[in-house]
Amino acid sequence: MKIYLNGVEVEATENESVGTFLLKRRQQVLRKTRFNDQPRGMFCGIGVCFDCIVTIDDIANQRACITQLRSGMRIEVTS
Amino acid sequence: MSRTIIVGGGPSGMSAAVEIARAGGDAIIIDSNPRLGGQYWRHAPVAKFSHDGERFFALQEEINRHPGIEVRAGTQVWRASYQEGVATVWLNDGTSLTSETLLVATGAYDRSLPFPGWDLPGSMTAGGAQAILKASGALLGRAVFVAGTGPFLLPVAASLVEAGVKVLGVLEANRVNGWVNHLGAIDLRKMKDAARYFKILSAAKVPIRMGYAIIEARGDGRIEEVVIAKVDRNFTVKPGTVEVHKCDAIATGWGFTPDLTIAHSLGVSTDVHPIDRSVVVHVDAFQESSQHGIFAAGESTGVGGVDLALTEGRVAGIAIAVQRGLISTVEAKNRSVGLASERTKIRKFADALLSVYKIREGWRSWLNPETILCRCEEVTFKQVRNVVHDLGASDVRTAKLLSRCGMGMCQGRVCGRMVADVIGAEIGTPATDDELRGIHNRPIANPISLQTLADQGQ
Amino acid sequence: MKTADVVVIGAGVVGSSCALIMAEAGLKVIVVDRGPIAGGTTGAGEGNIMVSDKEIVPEIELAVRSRNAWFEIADRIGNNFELQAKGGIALSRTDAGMAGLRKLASHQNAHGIETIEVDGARLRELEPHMNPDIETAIHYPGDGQCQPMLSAAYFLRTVRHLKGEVWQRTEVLGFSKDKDGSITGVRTSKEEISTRYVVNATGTWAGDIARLAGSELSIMPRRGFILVTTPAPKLIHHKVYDADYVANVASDSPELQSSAVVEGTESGTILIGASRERIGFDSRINMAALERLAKQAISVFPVLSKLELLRVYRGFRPYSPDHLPVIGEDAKVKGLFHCAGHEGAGIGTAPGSGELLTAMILGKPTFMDATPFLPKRFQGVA
Ligand SMILES: Cc1cc2nc3c(=O)[nH]c(=O)nc-3n(C[C@H](O)[C@H](O)[C@H](O)COP(=O)(O)OP(=O)(O)OC[C@H]3O[C@@H](n4cnc5c(N)ncnc54)[C@H](O)[C@@H]3O)c2cc1C
Ligand SMILES: Cc1cc2nc3c(=O)[nH]c(=O)nc-3n(C[C@H](O)[C@H](O)[C@H](O)COP(=O)(O)OP(=O)(O)OC[C@H]3O[C@@H](n4cnc5c(N)ncnc54)[C@H](O)[C@@H]3O)c2cc1C
Ligand code: FES
Repeated sequence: MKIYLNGVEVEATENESVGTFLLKRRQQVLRKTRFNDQPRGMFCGIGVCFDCIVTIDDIANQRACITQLRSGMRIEVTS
Repeated sequence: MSRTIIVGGGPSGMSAAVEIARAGGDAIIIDSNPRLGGQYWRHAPVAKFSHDGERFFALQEEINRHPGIEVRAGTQVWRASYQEGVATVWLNDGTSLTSETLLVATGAYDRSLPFPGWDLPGSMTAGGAQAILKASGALLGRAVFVAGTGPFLLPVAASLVEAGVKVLGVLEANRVNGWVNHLGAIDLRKMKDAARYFKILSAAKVPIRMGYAIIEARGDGRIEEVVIAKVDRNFTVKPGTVEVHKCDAIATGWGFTPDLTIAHSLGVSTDVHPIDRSVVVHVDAFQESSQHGIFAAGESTGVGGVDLALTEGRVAGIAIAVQRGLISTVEAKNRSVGLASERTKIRKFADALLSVYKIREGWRSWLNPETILCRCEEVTFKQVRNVVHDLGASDVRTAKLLSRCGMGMCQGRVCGRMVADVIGAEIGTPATDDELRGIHNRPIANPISLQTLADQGQ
Repeated sequence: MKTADVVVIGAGVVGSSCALIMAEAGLKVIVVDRGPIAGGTTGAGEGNIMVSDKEIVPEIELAVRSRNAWFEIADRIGNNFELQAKGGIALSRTDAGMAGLRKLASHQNAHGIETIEVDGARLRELEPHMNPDIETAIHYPGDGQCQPMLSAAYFLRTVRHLKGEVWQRTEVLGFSKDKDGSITGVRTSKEEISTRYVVNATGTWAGDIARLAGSELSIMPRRGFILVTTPAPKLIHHKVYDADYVANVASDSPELQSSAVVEGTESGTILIGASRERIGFDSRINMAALERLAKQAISVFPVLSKLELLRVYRGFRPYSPDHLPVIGEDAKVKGLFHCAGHEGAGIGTAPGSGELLTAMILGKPTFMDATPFLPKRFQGVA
């Protein structure tokens, strides 16, 4: 299936979370922090810490680690 | 009577559901994960377990077979309430459910301690490293350290080794002598597990260093090296023992924090655990809380591992069946043979582990003024000290509200306890039991779309 | 025994404003609170410093002076409390509603509040994300915002630097009086303080203190919820509210009332307030209130449908029977001064209230005629 990563179409497989999908693509950094512009990636891996938040289908602050990839999904990461 | 609501589809929730099903009852399991299994049985959809898959498949098979059990996976409870004997949960798909019986099986998450650089990409919790590996084979890095305290560090390091990660060391901050024997005291399975982990680690020549900790992580935009040091029995760094090592990731874990968010919203009484001061649901012998019809099992009643979670889940499931009039108390007794003593035995063992792998106060000496305590709001140690010493905050809540520590998206799940300890130390009196309870007060358990909320009113 | 010129009971924004202004005037002040600093309604307020929702002349005068006093304080002690002159926008989508707003604006204008009617194009400049179906509104450049808890904390810090004291976790147990019934001291759970002046700034609980001193005062709680969204890049620049809000404040019906007051904060979260219910101190969450606030906010800013609710907080606004604050000396107990009952405006109007009270205690002229605020209006004394 296809998804859109920062507007670019990429091939993805089902049954994978956004977070692990990106990590496998060596995309460790998922966002920059609001105040100090520091890079962050996944920390807790289970939806608790909200460090892995990215924009998914225009909705901000979605936890990459617990969001499953869907065909056509649009993911915005800042790195 | 409406079907029982089970919040959490981990070992405890699953085993409770099976008991309810066996008694001819019905239940709905809600879990935010896409699949059943909780933290322990986190797995890819085409399940491939390194071990202990049989128990999972047996439970899953029985749940799937029984028409009375519905599994709503990939769904979060964002709010829960209890009024006049009825529990209501609101789900992030915009629906809500009510029932006279509800099981809190929300489990636990890694407890974390801060140190300079713990917020760098490449730094994960031990459970998180394990979770992404189990769920999809993702690796947190290529050359990593596993550090913290607790028996859980070993399986994490072993899984990473098996997955081909170079584990540069397992650093256990506590000094634990003869702990394999300790584990052996409980049952053969634990003993075998531990022996297996040691075998994997020693085959890979992974150094296991007792009394060591990661005290700093460094790197330009991601972890490039760590500073490790020998610590004394109080976790204070021993002078002259500092080493710097290259690595690209770290997994740190300091035991677990029971997730009390839903329990707190339901208004159940809680205990503060005498050993580690974690807040746990107070339950009776039947796993029923102070609120009639609200039961709790697994880590939410105290961290004890998968076997305790399974046992408590069964006890709760049987008790729920009795309360719903599905089986008699005599029948319940027959179904419960051995459960109570099993529970006592494991609980005792779990408490012994908690004492051995306690977090000692000296960890605060690893902080420097610029160390981030609250990852969400980027609040530093210095800022927290400032609201106490300059602005006169004299309790945890005020310090939090004035510094924004714990006010971010995780709602203090990660930093709440640790910040309470820091503030307690700065003020000079430890956080009270009620202050520790207050950390779990999150009326909105998970963020909910404003649109979903607005549509609910229609 | 400790002595003080004035004992202020209550370390909320009102008490700390009084304490700050009195300490700056050279008085020795001791602030006493049974809880922590800013642990009452101040810790649950939104931080709007509004001139735009004021209708009654004395309230307008108090709000206008207070608004300016906020900025003067920031100049004096430093703006460590996120004070901003962000401006407000009041809107209505009905002709009748707009007519009401225009009428109010011209009334306010006559009493010193700057009001500008803006058309759709200008509105889009001020708030690019506002629903395009909103074609006209009133812009209030004078509306401001602060972080209320930080404000109280920094005010009290200054009080301490001016040789004042702040006693947290100290319960007021009673008052000592002389033969004439004038206050001579305050008995607390720590020790007695000898003083001739007491300021009752205990907000929702002010009636209890009045009773303890042998008088009476009717201050009641009015519950309100505020929704806090997950953080977002700056989407909303003013405090934006619809006309219903103003109607709500003056309303006398106990059932749920709500209308969206939407604003962004420094930390990136967006606050959506504020519901109003008079149901005593019931802290349970009312789902209907949350749903209504969410719906109303989205109707003003459709972009909010892409955001999530993160937290809800709730507080109890202290209100008096005529919805005006109670500021001045008790009609029965000499030396007891009340400064309470500011309802949904206590943050905005705290500095002006502190100035009035300080002038009264020092026997100096007040910046406005404070008669409408005097406690005697409820105390059976003409
Ligand atoms: C990240 C992590 C990894 C772990 N890995 C291992 C391991 O490899 N080996 C081991 O022995 N132990 C592991 N543990 C320890 C684990 O806690 C126990 O072994 C066991 O899983 C506890 O079972 P439980 O039923 O109490 O809770 P859990 O297994 O934690 O299950 C709780 C479930 O509730 C769900 N939940 C919680 N709140 C909500 C909500 N509001 N809405 C919807 N769903 C909700 C969670 O998603 C979760 O699936 C791990 C713990 C963590 C935190
Ligand atoms: C949801 C909500 C939103 C609001 N938004 C705004 C807004 O945007 N703008 C605005 O201007 N206002 C707003 N308000 C109103 C504002 O918060 C209040 O008017 C204001 O905080 C009142 O301050 P206070 O100092 O009088 O009371 P409090 O902050 O309640 O302080 C009273 C203090 O007295 C102490 N106390 C009580 N009894 C005793 C005793 N016996 N002995 C010792 N100490 C005692 C308490 O512990 C407390 O600290 C809002 C209120 C709510 C609930
Ligand atoms: S990594 Fe913690 S929430 Fe996703």
